[in-house]
Amino acid sequence: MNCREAKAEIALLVGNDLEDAGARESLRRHVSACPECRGHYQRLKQTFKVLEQADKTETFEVRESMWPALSTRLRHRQQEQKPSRRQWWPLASFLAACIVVVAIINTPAPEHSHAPVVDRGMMSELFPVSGDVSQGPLPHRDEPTTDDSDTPAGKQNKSKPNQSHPGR
Amino acid sequence: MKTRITDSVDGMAVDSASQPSDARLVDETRRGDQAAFGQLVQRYERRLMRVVLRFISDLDLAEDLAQETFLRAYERLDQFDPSRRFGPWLFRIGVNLTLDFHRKRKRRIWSIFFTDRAPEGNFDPQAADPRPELDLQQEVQQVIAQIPEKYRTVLVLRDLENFSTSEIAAILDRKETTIRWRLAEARNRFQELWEKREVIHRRADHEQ
Repeated sequence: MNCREAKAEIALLVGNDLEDAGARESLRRHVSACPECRGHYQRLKQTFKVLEQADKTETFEVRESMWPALSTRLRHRQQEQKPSRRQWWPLASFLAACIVVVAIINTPAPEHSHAPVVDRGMMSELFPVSGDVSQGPLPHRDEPTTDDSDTPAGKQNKSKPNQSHPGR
Repeated sequence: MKTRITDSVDGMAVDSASQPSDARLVDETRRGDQAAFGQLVQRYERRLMRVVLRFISDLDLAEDLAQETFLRAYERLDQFDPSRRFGPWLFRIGVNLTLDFHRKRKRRIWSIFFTDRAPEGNFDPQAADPRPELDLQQEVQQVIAQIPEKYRTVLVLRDLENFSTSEIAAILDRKETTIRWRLAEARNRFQELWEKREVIHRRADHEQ
């Protein structure tokens, strides 16, 4: 143990915070052999008494409990929070209603179930377009939205352009 | 050597078997029973005020900080881990709140020092020496105030408020070995500053 370590342990010892018996014993041996650390121990023990004297349990006596004031503050905070929640309800309801209305407007009218459904290959034959396909008419809702020309099913459709979707 | 008071952070809860435990009161508060929280307030308010007053000497400010501590604890009760103890958790909120306030106030004091405005209460050489009016406790407070905050906090909680080092570790969210090292450093620094102060006092008395 060196003097630096000893000083730290002495500081713990004076406040009864050096609980390890082995550490206490090695500190005792060091202090008995080191006059400087022995002096430090004596001085620190004196100073620590000052701290203990300042540690008065009667430092503060609660004049009266703060709970009545606190419970009032808690109630006020809760009341402030409640109306703000209510204020959101009309806005939230209005927004929900708007979403429903927009959804209804954007929903296309029901198609004739027996109408023949054509794929993109057939459309291009009936209405040949040049340039970007995206500029052409919007695909029908019942049309496959993905270009499956590279898939086996797509190739099959290309070879049989007049064949409608199975099951229709 | 004076026998240390070994009351724990939630010592008051343990004292009386008839009183409900902290855990039960926390649970009841979470279910909406405000009166249960009232019992927790009454259980901890004295000690919390004492701790806050170690850092903030103004009684009204200390009471405001203590009230704010309880309000925050109430609002964050859903974040509290019920497998842990309520006391250290509450004191962690209180100590952090107090130290934050203390730091802000210190910054404001610095800004006053660096303005052209003369500080209030100029030093008057004709005025009587105020030192005799300071009692031991105030002198100790003045010396403790010179210790850097990270050591000072540990010293106050351990040597003035008698929290155990493991409780301080929980309050400050540090390892206990760190707390013990800081405690040793804080005591050594206090000793150096106290001796320095005594030398100054002796010199002043000699000159008179």
